[in-house]
Amino acid sequence: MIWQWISKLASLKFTLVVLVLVGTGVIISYRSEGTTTWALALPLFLFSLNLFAAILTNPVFRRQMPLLMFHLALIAIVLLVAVGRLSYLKGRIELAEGEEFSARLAEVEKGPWHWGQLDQVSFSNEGFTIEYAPGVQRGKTVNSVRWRDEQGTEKRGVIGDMVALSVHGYNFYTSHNKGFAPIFTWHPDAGGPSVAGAVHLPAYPRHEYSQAQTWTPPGSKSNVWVMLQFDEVILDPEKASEFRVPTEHKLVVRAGEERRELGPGESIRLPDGVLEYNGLRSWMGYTIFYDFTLPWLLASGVLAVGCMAWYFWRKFSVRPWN
Amino acid sequence: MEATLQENPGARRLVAGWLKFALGALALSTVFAMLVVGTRTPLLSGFAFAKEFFRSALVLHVSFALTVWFFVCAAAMWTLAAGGAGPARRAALALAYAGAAAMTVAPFVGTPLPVLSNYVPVLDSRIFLFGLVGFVAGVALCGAAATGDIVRRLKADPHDVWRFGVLLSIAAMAMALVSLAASMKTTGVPAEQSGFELLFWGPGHLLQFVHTLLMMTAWIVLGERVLGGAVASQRWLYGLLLLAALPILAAPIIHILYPVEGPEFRRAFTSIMTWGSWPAAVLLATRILLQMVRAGRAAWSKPEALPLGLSILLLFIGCIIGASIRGETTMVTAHYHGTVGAVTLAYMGLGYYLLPAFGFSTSGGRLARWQLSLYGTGLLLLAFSLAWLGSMGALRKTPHSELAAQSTMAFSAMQLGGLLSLVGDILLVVCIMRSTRQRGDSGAEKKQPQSRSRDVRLRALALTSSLVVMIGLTVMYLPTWLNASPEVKRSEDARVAHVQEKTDAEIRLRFEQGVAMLNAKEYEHALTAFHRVLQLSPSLPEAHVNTGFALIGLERYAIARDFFESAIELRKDQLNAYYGLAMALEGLKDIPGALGAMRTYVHLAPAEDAYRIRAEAAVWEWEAKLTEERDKTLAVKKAGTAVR
Repeated sequence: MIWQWISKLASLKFTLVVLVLVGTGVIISYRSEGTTTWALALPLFLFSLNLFAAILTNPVFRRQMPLLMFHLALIAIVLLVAVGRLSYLKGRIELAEGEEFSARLAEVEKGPWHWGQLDQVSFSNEGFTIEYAPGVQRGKTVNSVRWRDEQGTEKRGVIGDMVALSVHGYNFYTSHNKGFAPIFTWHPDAGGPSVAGAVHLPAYPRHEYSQAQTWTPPGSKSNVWVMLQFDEVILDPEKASEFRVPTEHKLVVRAGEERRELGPGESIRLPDGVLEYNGLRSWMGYTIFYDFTLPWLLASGVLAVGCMAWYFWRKFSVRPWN
Repeated sequence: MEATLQENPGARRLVAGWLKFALGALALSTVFAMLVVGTRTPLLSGFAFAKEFFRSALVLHVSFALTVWFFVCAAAMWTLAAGGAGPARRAALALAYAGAAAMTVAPFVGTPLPVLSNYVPVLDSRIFLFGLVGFVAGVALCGAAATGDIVRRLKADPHDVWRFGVLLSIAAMAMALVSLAASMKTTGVPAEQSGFELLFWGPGHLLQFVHTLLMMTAWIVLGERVLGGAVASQRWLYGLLLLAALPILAAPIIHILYPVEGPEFRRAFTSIMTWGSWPAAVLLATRILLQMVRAGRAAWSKPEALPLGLSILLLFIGCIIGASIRGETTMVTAHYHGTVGAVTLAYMGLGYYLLPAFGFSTSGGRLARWQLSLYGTGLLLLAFSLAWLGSMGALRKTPHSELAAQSTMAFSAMQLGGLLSLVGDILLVVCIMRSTRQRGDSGAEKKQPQSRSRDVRLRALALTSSLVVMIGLTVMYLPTWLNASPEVKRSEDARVAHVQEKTDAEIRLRFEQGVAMLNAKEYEHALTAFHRVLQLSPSLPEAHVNTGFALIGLERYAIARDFFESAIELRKDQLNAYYGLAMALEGLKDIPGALGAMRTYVHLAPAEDAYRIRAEAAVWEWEAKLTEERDKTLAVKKAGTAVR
C-alpha cells in the first residue's frame, strides 16, 4: 500500500504537475507585492518528494552511482531553495559614524521561518572613505567597523560593497547610500536625561541640493527642520576626490517661526527644551542579507554538475565515439 | 574469523566499510600530522594562522590517530564477531562517518579553541563536539547491535575465544559510556579545559581496557596463525581475558565513592589503569613469545609474526616506561606512544591477515614488511627519545623548540621516529590499495563476482552529503580567508594583535586549569599548568603566586618562597603573595620571617577578606611561639648565669 503511494509520488506525471506548480509559484511571486513564500516553497517541497520517491522506486538508481548522486544533489538544491525562501532576511539600515547597530531595520523583508539572532548582532560604524574618480565616479568603499564575534570577542575590520561583515550569519554590506549626519543633544525642560542622537540627511551626492530633513526631538512636540549648508566642493567632477565631511559648514535650524544658523557647540531654544548642535559626521547605509542556504546551494550545484559530467563521461567512454 | 567473512556477504561489506573508515582515519591523521609539521616549518610558520592551526591540527591528528582509528577498528571487530548485517549496523556506520566528517571540517569553521585534554583532545567548537558525539554514538550503536549475535555465536561455539575478547571489549566500552554520562552529570558540557579534563578522565581510562582487550584478541588470532594452533588452552585464554576486563568493575564503585572533581576520583582511575591494564596483556604476550621461541624458525617466518612481535615489544617497552613515570614529563607521552603503537600494530597485522578473506591478494609481501618495520621502528624511536627527554625533566605538551633545547640528539631521534611512523602510515594505505587492486584467488569475492549489481544508494547518500558539507564549508569560509589576507599583509599590528589575543586565550585557559588542579590538590598538574602560564606571561604575579601555592602543596618550601618573593617584586600589593610567603617561611621554620609576611598581609587585607581571620590567628600563634621561645632562651641564660 505504502509502496504504491511512493510509486505514484515518483511518477513523471506528478513531476509535470509539480513543475506547473513551480511555474505558477514563480508567476505569483513576481506579480504579488505581499509575502509569497509558500507559493514557491510548497511546490519545491513536492518536487523534492517526487525526486526522492523516484530514487526509492527506480532500480536504475541502485546501480548508477553518479546518476543517483546527481539526483540527491538535485533534491538538496530543491529543499535548500525552499528552506531559503522560508528563512531568508533582507534589510536596510543607516548608521552614523560611531553609532552602534540596534537591530532596528529601516526596511525588512523576511521569510516566515526566520528566527535569526539579529538582536545579538553588535557592530558599530567607525567611519569610511570613498574615493571618486573624475566625473564623480564612485570607487571602492572602505568602511571601518568594530564588532563582537559569536564568542563575544571585540574585533575590528574593513568592509565594503563586496566585502561583508558576517556576524551570526548576517552579512552587512555597505551600500551606495551615505551622507551627512548632524549630531544633536536634546535637553528636555521636563527633566530626565539628555538624549544624544543623529539626524540622517538625504544621501549625498545623489541629493546634493536638498540636504534638509525634518525631525522631532525625542519626547518633544516641536518639529525641527534642519538644513546643511556649505560652500566647499566635496566631490569635484573635474578631478579625483574623496567623500568627506565639509571642513566649514553651517546648520540652518528652523523650529516654528524661529530660524537659526548653528555651528558646533551652539544651541537653540525650543518650546519644550534646548537643542544643542554637537557637530557633523557622516552616515553609511548598509544592506543586510541573511540566507544560510547559499553556500550549501552552491555546493550542491557544483556537485550536481560534477556528477552529471561523471555520469556522461562513464556513459560515453564505454566505447569509442568513432 | 575469516570464515565469518566468507560466509556472510552482508557482514563482509559492513566490515569492509569499517576498515575503509579506519584506513581513511589513519590517512587523515597522517595529513594532519603533516600539517602539524608544516606549521612548524620556517616558511609557513611565519604566518599567524600557522601558529594557531598547529594546535588544531595536533588535536585532529591525535583524534584521528587515537579516538577515531581505535574506535573504528573496535567497531570492525565487533561487526566481524557478530557476523550478519542489519539496518541498525548500517545506520551505525553512516552515523560514525557523518560524525567523523564533521570533526574533520571543524577546524576550518571559525577559530575553535583546541583543548588538549588527556585521552580525548577536542576542539571547543559545536561542530567538532556534535561530530564527536555522532561518531561515538555510531560506534556505540554498532556495539549494541552486535552484542546479541556475538553471545549467540559464542554459545554455539565456545572455542572461538576471540569472540569472548570482543564481547568483553563491548562491555568495557559500555562501562566507559556510563562513566562518561555519570561524569557529565557533574561537569555538564564543559566550557573550559579543566572541565573536559574532568569529563574524560574516567571514561578515558576505561577506554584503555577496550583497546587492551581488542589487542589481546588480535594477538590470539595472529598467534594462532603464527603457531599453527591455539596459543594457550581455552580455559587459560578465557581467564586472561577476564583478568584484563576485571578492573572495569571498579568504575561504578569509584563513581559512587568519590566526586568527579575530587583528587581521589582521579587517583582511583589512575590506579585501576596503573595496576589493572597490563598484567593480563603481559602474561599473554609472554606466553605467545615463549611459544614462538619454542616453535622456532617456522613460526618467525610467518608474515603475521612481524606485527605480532613488534606489537608485543612495544607493549613491553610502553609498560617499562610507564613504570618510570614521575610527574607530568614527556615520559607520559613516551609511555602512550609505546602502548598505542602496540595496539595499532596488532590491528595492522589483523588487517593484513584478513585481506584474503575479502577476496584481495595477501599482505603485499616485501612492501608490507617494510611498512610494519618502519612503523614499529618509528614508534620505538619515539618512545625512547621521549623517555630520554622525560628523564631530563622535559614537560609534556611543551613546544618543540623547548624540547630541542633540552637535548638536540633526543629531539632529533624523536623527529626521526615521527617521520618513520608517518612513512609507515602512508605505506599502509599504499599496501592496502595495492592489495585491493590485485584480487586474490581465494575468498568470497570469487564466489560473488557480480559487483556491478550492488546497491549503491547508501554509499551515494554518504558521499553526496559529505561532499556537499565539504564544498559548502569551503565556500563559506574561503572568501573570509581570502579577504582576510590583504588585511593581514596591510596591518602587521592586526597580526600581532591576533597572536596576542590567542596567547591571552591560552593563558586564561591554562590559568583556569591550574586553579582547578590546585583546588583538587593535584599539585603536579597545577604546577605544569602554571609553568606554561609563566612561559607565556613571565610577569604575571598571580601565576607566580599560584605556582608558589602548588609548590607548598608539594612541600617544596624554598622554591615556593622564591616564587612568592618574585610575585611581590612584580606587584607590591599582591596580597596573596604575602600570605603564601608566610606559609612557605613557616614550612622553612623561619617563624620571624613568616610573622613579618603575615603581618604585612593582615595590614593590607580588607576587613571582609576571607583569609584575614586565619591570618590573624597565625600571627597570634607565631607571636606566642616566639615569646615562648624567647622566654625559654632567657630562662636558659639565667640558669647558666646562676650555675656560674
